[in-house]
Amino acid sequence: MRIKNSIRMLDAFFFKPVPITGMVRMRILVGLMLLVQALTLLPGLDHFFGPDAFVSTHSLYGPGAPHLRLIDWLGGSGTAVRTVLGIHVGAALAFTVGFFTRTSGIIAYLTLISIHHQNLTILNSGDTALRFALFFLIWSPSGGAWSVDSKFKTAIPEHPPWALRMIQLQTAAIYLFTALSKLNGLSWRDGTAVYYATRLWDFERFGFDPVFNSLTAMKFITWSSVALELALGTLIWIPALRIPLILIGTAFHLGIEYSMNIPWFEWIMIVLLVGMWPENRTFFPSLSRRVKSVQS
Amino acid sequence: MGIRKKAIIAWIVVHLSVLMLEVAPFKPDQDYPGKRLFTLYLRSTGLWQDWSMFSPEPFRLNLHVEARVRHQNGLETTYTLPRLHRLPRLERALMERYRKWEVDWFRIDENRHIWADGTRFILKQLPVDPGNPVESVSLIRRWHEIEDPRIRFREWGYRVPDSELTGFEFATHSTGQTGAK
Repeated sequence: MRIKNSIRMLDAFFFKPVPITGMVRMRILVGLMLLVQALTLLPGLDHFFGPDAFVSTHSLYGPGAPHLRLIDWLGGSGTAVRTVLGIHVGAALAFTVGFFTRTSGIIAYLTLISIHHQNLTILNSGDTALRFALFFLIWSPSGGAWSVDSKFKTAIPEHPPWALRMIQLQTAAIYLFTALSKLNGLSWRDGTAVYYATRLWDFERFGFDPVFNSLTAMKFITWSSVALELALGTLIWIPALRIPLILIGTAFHLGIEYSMNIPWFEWIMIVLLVGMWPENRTFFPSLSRRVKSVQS
Repeated sequence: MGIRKKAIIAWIVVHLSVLMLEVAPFKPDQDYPGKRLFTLYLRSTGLWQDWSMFSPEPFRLNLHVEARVRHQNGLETTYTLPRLHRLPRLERALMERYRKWEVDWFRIDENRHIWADGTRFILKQLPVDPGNPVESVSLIRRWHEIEDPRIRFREWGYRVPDSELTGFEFATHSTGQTGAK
């Protein structure tokens, strides 16, 4: 009986149709992050890819590696780099506005992993998060509303949310795996980890004085970070805790964004937290009611 | 249940199993049946991932890589890869991908297969003097280890002078320009 109930719950979790609001929201936000990520490549484009790059794919993989690398397949020149990046930006833009959403999503994904395969040494966790978010969005009906494809239809259809659920599970896994990995580290257990992280010169942005100069405060931040990450990886599935945890998690990422030079990663994590927002709750209820009354 | 739904369920099960067996910090150390397939799945779909942000331990070195460039006439100059903390904040964010390559890949012994590329890159950044070509490039790691705060607490934003950084020459590449002019 219990097994049957669990299977029924899992079936509803992945396949019971829900309004596609969450998928549409994610399409727009992930699309915008793809464009931001492409911008971050521009300042060093010729040093990252192509004949003048600081690392070649031949050195990284050896000959004949099976990775999808469109830049190499187009000859590996500076023109090939610009062509692939140009196609990627065009596809990302089309995906954001929902123009041939699935096709543009697939093109954006293939060019994204080609760019990433071309130089693994410059990638960070934000790039990884963007890859899986885009990958699963391709399988969702994210162009079903607020898109060129739907002629900017605002009526929200319903659809099984399994692709969005995969993004949510991946998001929870990031927090859970990171927290568990940190619990293996001595400095996370003794409370000094954030002290070390804030003393890395290249990561400095703005300080929180006197917080950053108090070992007691550093210990509190260290332990509460791990506790929050554990909660975001597990307790976020409890409906009553979900919205408070999303809000605290967002504040946590904004705090890191303010104090540390870890570009765009925190924003991608905030986007993923937005993807955890419950389907039956709107961001701004009063505004949503007003829009609905205008429409009717 | 339709075949499409069955296929999706099978995929969900495979993907979540791959996360547990290939990505989770408690993943098995030993080989297991299907490991190669799971790795291939992550690689071929572009879903490879590793979540180790400042874990299990945050990095404890303020480190950069320098190149000691030796010219044919014996002159030695130093080329320093971007040191982000010396740049304005916006530029620091834009240069982060250089730091990623330099600190997380280039300086590491296990990645010696990319040292020659990096050296060539450094050579391309140097002014060309046909009358006095570069003879060799030595790569040097320079670092300051952050001390345990219970022994020595450093204020946020502290710096140590370059003269106090530890240095280690980890590779030397000859350009083949050795010999008399």
